[in-house]
Amino acid sequence: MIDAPQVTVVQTGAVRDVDFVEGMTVKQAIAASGLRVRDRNEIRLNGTPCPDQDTTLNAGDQVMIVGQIAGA
Amino acid sequence: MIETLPTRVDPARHLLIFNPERFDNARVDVIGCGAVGSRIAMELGKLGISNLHLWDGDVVAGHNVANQLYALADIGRRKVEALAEAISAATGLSPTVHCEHIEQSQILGDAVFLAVDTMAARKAIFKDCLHLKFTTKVVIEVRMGVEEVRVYGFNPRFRAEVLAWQETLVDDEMTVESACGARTTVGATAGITACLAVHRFLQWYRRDIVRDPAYLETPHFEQVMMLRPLMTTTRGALT
Repeated sequence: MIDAPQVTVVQTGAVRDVDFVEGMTVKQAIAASGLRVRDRNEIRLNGTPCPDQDTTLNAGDQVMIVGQIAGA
Repeated sequence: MIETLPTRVDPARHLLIFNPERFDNARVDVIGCGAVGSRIAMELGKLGISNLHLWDGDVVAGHNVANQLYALADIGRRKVEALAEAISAATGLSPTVHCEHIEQSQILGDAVFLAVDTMAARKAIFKDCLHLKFTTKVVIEVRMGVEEVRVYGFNPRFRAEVLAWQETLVDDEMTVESACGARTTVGATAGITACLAVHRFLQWYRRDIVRDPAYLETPHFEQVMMLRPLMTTTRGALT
């Protein structure tokens, strides 16, 4: 059996695998994951900052929602 | 039984990774001696770095004791003095203290740890003290949230690295705060952040000072760590 292609959306406390469909965007993947992007969050696609949520994904991509942190 | 206590930290256990003599008294500055900076400074002291400079203009407040490297007896003392005393007690070394906020006329060392807690301070310190001043060979900058960590390492002489780092400096209004408006910090997260930063320094030392062939790869420019679930992403070298 071949697993359906997926993308992963990650946020602190949550990892969600979402079924991938051709042409899926970052925004659509996040919406499908049920996770929420808050103010002061940054989106990363495979580790690289991705300010454009209309960016098209590939199967296996990882979308990470991280905080803009500044403490020390 | 040891009859005479040593007066200096013995680096025997880490000589293969870091040899203080090979470092040749090079200067290291730690700017900001809060939760992360105080731990970085102690780790550097334990490595045996003798030419260590500590910068912070603040005094120890009661709420600092829970997540910074200070004791109850330090409350009200200048952070740099309390920290230098703790490092001295632990290692026999005597860091140089600067109980002031750093400004333009300062010349910094070979390695600089930037451990301040606002984006505005990061920008200002770089502009005033690191930009186009060629004494510093590596800047290691740290950021922490409650369950997220970032460590940046770059050579301030390399324009591409500086620009990439500057692109990560958002305005302070865009950074995460807790619901009550005060920043929440956990000492354990500070410990992880500090140790990642010191490891980034060790990579630089082995690659650029020792020229260790086992460390030929250029260290990551950026490390982002999420603690729950444990995940890391890195961005590679830019030069």
